[in-house]
Order: sequence, then C-alpha cells, then structure tokens
Amino acid sequence: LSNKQQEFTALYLPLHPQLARYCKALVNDTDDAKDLLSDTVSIAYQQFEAIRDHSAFKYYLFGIAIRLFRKKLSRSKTFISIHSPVAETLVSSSASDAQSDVGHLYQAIDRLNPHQKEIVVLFELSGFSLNEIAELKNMNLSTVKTHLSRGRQELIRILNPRKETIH
Amino acid sequence: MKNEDFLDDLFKKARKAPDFVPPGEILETSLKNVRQHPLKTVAAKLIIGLTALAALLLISTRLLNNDHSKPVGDTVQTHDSGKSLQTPEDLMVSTMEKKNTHSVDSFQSENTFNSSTWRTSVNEQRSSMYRPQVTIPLTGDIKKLMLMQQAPSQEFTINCSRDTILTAASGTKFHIESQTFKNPSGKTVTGPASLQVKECYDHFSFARENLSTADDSGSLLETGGMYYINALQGADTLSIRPGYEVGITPNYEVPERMDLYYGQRDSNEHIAWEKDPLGKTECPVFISTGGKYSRIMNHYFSKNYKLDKATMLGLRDTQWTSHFTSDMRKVLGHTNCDLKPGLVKNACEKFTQLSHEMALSDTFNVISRFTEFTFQCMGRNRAAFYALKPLLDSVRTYIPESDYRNVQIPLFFAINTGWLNLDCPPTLNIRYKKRHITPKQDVTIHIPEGMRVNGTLYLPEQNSVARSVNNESGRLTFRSIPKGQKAILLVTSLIDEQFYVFRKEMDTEDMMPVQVKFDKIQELEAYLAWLRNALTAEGMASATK
Repeated sequence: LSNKQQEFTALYLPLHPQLARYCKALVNDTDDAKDLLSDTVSIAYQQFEAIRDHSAFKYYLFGIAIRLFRKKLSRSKTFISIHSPVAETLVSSSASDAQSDVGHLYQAIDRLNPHQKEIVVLFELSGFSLNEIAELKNMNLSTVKTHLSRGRQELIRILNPRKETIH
Repeated sequence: MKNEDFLDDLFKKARKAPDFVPPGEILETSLKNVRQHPLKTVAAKLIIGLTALAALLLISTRLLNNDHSKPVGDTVQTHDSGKSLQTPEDLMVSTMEKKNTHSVDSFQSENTFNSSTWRTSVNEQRSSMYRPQVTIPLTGDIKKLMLMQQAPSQEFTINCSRDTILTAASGTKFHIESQTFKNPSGKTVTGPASLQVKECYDHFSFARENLSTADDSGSLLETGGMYYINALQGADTLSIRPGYEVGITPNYEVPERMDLYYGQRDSNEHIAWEKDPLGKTECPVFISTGGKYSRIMNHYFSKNYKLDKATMLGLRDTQWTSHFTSDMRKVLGHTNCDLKPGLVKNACEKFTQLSHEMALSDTFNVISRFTEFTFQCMGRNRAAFYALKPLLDSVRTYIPESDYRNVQIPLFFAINTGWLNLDCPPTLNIRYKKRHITPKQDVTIHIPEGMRVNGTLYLPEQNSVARSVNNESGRLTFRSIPKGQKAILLVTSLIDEQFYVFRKEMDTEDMMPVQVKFDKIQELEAYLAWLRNALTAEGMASATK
C-alpha cells in the first residue's frame, strides 16, 4: 500500500462502523447503503490530500456522506425500487429477534423527514455529540436539540402506534 | 417498559449489531481503483481549451457575416440519420433512443471504459435504465392456488314441486317457493334438484373463496355476509324464473343499511358487485286490499299473474286511474290499465272484469261499499309481515331466539343465482367525521419482478376486502383504499406446488414502502392453517389496535 492509502486506512478504520450504520440508516437498503458508503470513501480518498487537519477527518467523511445522500434523495424521487426475482432468495432468513427489531427501527427511521433522520442517526447510531452535529450541519445547537427530540417522539409514535378511541 | 427506554434499547441493539459490510471490502473497492479525474489530466485540459477556442471562432464568424437566420446551437445533426433536432430535450431523447439500441454487453463495456471500476455497482444500476426490456417469464400459478384453497360447497337435494326452507351449516335460511327454477331451455323444473350453497361470514372464508367487496365502480363496500347458490338438475344449471326469487334470512340481525348485491367474476377471478335496487323487495303480485271478494281475487291473481321486479319499478311511476261510486261520493279503487299490452295490462283488465262480475252477481246487485277494490302491486308477504310484526315484536321477549328466527320472513330476495352479497357503502371513519367524506388513496406494494401473486388487503374496522393480482411490472396496486384504517396485507403465491405467503399489518393513513419477504409452506393443510391464523379474531384484533 502507498503512504496515502496507509494513512487513509488508519484514519478510516475506526470510523467505519459509525459511517456504515449511518449509511444503512439513511437509505434503509443494503445495496444502496453499500453504494453510498463506497462513493463516500472514494470521494474522501480522492480529495484526501486537501485535508490539512486530520483531526477533522470525521467531519469531512460524514459531510461527504450527507451531501451524497441528499443528491441521491433528489434523484430517487423519480425511480422505484425493484427487488430480486429469484424466488428462493425471497424466503425470509431466520433472523434473530434482535435483528428484526433493528430492522423495524431502520424502517421507522426511514419514515422520518430528512433533517430529523440525519440528526437522529448521527446522534444515536454514529455517536456524534450535539455540538458536533451542530458544527457538522452548520446549525444552531437548540435547533439540533429540537430536531432530535421531535425525531425521537416520531419514532416512538411509529413504533408504538397509538390506539384510536371512539367517543 | 417506558417508550423512551424501549427506543434507547433499540438503538443500543442497533449499535451492537454487526456491520453490514466489512471495512476491508469497502477499502479494497474504493482505494485500488480510484484514478485521477479525467478532466484534471493535461491532455484533457488541452482538448477543452481547443474546443472552447473553436466555438468562439465559429460564433464570431457568424456574427461578422450577419447570419441571423439560424441561431448558433439551434440545430444539431445526428451522426446516424441526419435528422434535425430542435431542442435540447429532443437531443436527450435521441441520445437515449440511441443507447436503447445498444446491446447489454456494449453498455457494460462502455461503462467500464468511461468510469472507474469502484463505481461499478452504481453504473450497473444506472445503465440498467437503458437496457432493452427483457420479458421475464411469470412464475406463480394464481388460478390453481385459488382452486386449491376453495372450501367445498354444502349440497342439498330439494323437491322443486314443493315450497322449501333450507337451513345451511352456519344458520342461514334459504326460502325457495315451488316451481322457482327453470332449465336452460326455459322449461319450469319440477321434481328433485341439487342445490349447492356456500356461506361466508368471516375473513377466513372470504380469503378461501377469493372474495373482495368492491362494487362495479371499484369502490370498497362494507359486507354483512356473502353467499353462493347454484341449482342443478342432472347436468343442467338452473336459473330463477321471472316473478320468483330465493329468499335469504342471514344468521344474525342485519343492519338496516345493508342491500343485496350480485357478483360477477372476470377472467382474473376478480369479483365485482352490482346492487339490486329491490333486493329487499319480493317479486310483486296484484292484490286488492278491501271488499268482500278481496281474498278470492288476491288468491286468483297471486297464482296466475306474477310480476318481476323490473315491471314493478315501471309501474311505480305511472298514472293510476281512480274509480268512484255512481253518486261520485266514494272512491271504489284504483287501477292501472293504461299500459302497453302485456302481462300487467292483461291482469288489470281481468281484475276489472272480475270485480264487476262479482259485484253484479252480488245478492244486492249493486256496487256497494263491500265490493270496493284497489288494484295494487305488492310483495307477497308484505301484508302478512305488517300483520305479523306487532305480534312478533310482542312475543320476542319471551320466546327463544331460535324459535323467533323460525317465524321470521326472509329479509332479502335474490332473483339471480351465483354469488350474493349483503353490502353497503362503508360508514364514515371517526377520524374523518367532520369532513363528511373519507379520503382515499391507491396503495402500491413492491413485489419481486416476474412473480405472479395474489394480494389481499383486509380492513377489519369496516369489514371490507380489497384484492389485486399483479402483472409483470413487479407492483401490486390496491385502488381507492380509504385512509385512516388498520389493515392486514396478505400476499400469496403457488410456485412448484409450494405456497409462498406473506402477512403484514399496516396503517392506510401513513403508508410506508413494503418489502415483501415470503415464507414457504409445503402442505395445503399447513397453508390453510396459516391463512386461518392470519385472519383469526386475534390477528384481526391486533391489527385494529
């Protein structure tokens, strides 16, 4: 490996789980998440030499992912997803309860609006602090808190739909 | 567990879940194949500069020659056909058409040449938009699945020469008058005949018979029970004679708003329901309501002159003639003989003739108040019903319910055999009471491309069922589904004698994309057990929570 690749890998590896969860939660589809992750890493690597302060690598990486996700969001409005035709692969795997819970969580996150989704995922899954999120998204701290709180409430509502009462 | 704790617990699980892709895989594909952007190379910069210079020279030349007839860049010649293109949109369409004519291989090679391999997955996805349409053979035998899951019908043997009341397994009563049926040649059937009956009161039985509750305009109805009646004599399928009907008494007290609907299946086994505007009305008979000879005349006319419901509808809006005593002080009755020749006119004239004959042969030889007549069309049992109703109401409090049902007269009168439905437009959802209309939307489910499935959406709150069979587009669409309902989605298919099943509870208010993942069932019994469990009271109750 070249020096550039070694340096990039050393910085990237600790952030991979957070970034992977972030991409998965944003697009809620394994193939799309792989593409988003792959694109993010490629762009980050291409422009890696331009980073002067390596301590800002985390912001740099997630910033690219956010921009790519927004581009993808605007593109995806015109397309529908079509799944694999192979009947055998359609049989649901015997996923554990924990995995199915996580699947439901990702589905619920997918129903949040884009701002709430990004902030909830950054805070809850990728381990960013509120101040870091405010800096990354160039937002006021109180706005971030509001989005996070509303996003969590919305998630609770989606995961536990309230009962309708007839008076 | 509190909601907040529950959510935190879920996030904790998500953080602990293994990565969906290992870092090595991402780094391998991303780092190895990244090349310098082609626009950054010296050669590329040189080409761009020369092209810009050439364009500038062209524009300046045209301006110097004062050639304004053809604006710069307005017309583009394509290489293959020389066809003129007027707008950038045309150019785009042409480019896409041109790409469509390429083979799949040429596109893959083009992508490989133009882009780095780290973007292969993205490019494959994008280039798939330009690939020629490939016909994927459909898998899944829906018609066979429908036949396999159908419940057997109840078989009865009746004597067509006698009045019969049948009580089916779930308690529905079918009232069949003597000589009700005719064979395909139009001859009245007498003697023994076989009657096939099905009763469907719950969602499981609806599912087995592939029933939905959409009317012929596609709007969903609320059902109060569905029935199937088929009469056979030997190999002949029998139909109901004009002026006759099969009376139906459901096994529960049906809400007043329910009407009778007749079902028609299309080639896709979809059933559409058409309303019978007189479903609660018996076939009418001529009847006189007063006078000393009324009973004799009623008997004579109810036996010899039977009207069908359509004729009764025609009579309702016509002009009736009033008859008075000779001193013009008292109304004798009303007739409606001013009609085109036919059964009604004949009956009317016969009625007038008989009433006068009877009056003339009276002891007093005068038309007295005792011979007054009214010529009307009524349901055969309506008079009896009105006479009996106070009595029935009074005895209902102290006789067993089963006995009370035995003396009830039928509530619905079918003039066609086949599938019958007690339906009504659904009542307004409580959420939309103020708007006076329930908003509707189409619900689309993405299913595996090339797979033929049978999709059913059950709305337990309003007792409605929507069905959809997909085409090869990979989508399943349910039309005009009311918003604000809890629903159960069942998607089933049959491939290589194996049942593929999927169940999901959903909310029609806030639809989220559904990714169908099937479970596989080997045996028919196990499949029917799954279907029953999916639509049992517990399953439906959990959907309405």
